Amino acid sequence: MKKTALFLAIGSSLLVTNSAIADVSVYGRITYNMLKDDTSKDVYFGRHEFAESNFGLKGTFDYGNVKFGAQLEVGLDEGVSNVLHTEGNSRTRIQELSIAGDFGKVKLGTGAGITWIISDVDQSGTWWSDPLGMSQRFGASRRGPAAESQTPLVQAQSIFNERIIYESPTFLDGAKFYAQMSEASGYEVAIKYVANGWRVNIWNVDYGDVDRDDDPQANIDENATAGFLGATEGRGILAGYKHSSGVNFTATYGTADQVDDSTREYLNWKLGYTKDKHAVSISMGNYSSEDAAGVSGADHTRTTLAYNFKPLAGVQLWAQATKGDTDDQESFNALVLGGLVKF
Amino acid sequence: MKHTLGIAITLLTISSATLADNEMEKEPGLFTGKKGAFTILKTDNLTAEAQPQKHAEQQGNTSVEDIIPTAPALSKKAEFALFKKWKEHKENNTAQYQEFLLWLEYKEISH
Repeated sequence: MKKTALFLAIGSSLLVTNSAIADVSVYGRITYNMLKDDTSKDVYFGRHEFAESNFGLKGTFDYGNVKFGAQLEVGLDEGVSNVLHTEGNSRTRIQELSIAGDFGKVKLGTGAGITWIISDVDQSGTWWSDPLGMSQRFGASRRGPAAESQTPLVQAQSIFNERIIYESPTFLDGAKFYAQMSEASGYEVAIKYVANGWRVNIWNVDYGDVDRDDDPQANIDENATAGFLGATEGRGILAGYKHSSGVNFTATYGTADQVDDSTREYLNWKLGYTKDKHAVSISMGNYSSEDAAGVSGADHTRTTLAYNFKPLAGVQLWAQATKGDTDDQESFNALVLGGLVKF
Repeated sequence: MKHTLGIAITLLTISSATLADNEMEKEPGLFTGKKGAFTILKTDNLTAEAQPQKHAEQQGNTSVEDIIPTAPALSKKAEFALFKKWKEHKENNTAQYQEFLLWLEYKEISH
């Protein structure tokens, strides 16, 4: 049987029939952690700031060269057993419609911002995706030494918001361009390149009028700041390379302009080694600031040692230790044990 | 062979629309395997089922030779992509694959 005949036949079938395929699926994951840091004598059980258990429903419908899609995803925090809990323990992560074709993809609805999407990789200090984002997002546990959110790099990105997104087809054998218009006149643009072991993400965010809204993460942490994490604009670049031996290196740099006209600067690097079911890494993050008058603030650093283990597909366990300094004074130590099961 | 490139382009265009944009979604699941999600509905040829008469007319009035565009020789890369697509149809025993079997039968008789 000639292969040409095979392709010809199957191709002809696609061309002559007005083909349509519907595919609907459910998915979810359980994520849980035990956190201990020196800001409290207590051990904290539950999620991390961005490491939520979640479940969702998604469907696609192929119609010729166009694919229509819809997705609904709900995130859950640790649940009603938390004695401090006064609100519901779920939130909408995604509710969006999409259409994709050879023109690219358009998504409308609530969901992850494009800067979050392109950066939601390899955050652990390993080459694996990490729900904690301990090193790169500068998160060490749910609270910092002054109870502040320990995710300042997020100021250079957005997370979940209401938006319309355009995602280009792949070009240059691994690159994609993203553009987003958000509620309250915000916008984001980003380019992502992944090929041959290399990864480069570049992004810019303008929070529009929403920068005057309450900080959603701070509301969770009960330490509200002015504006969306205090930032009006953010930008950054992530560059990484994974060698075939498993050795990998990633560096991230970002800046944010604050509502009070101060600025912040973030730098993170990570050296990791991934082999089969195991991954280890060391990573270091630094952020500094300048107030509106140009006076420098304290320099903060975090160093994280991470070990990740994937005993089975869909199962990930981790142990991560973080040491923090502010102006060379040891200020923060944390240990996290956790894991996730993806259904 | 020139016919195959046109088909390859068609198939690759369809494939490009399915690229995931969130890498974490690509992770396999403990219970769901490589796909990472439970499929609760999968239907082929909804349109054809909804419009049986129109579908039958299309099948009856269009020959393979009529609809295949003119194109130069297929590259190895495009040919391999085409093969993967064909194998996917075969494994899922899609309506397109059934059409392929029917076409083979037709070629057998017509020669």
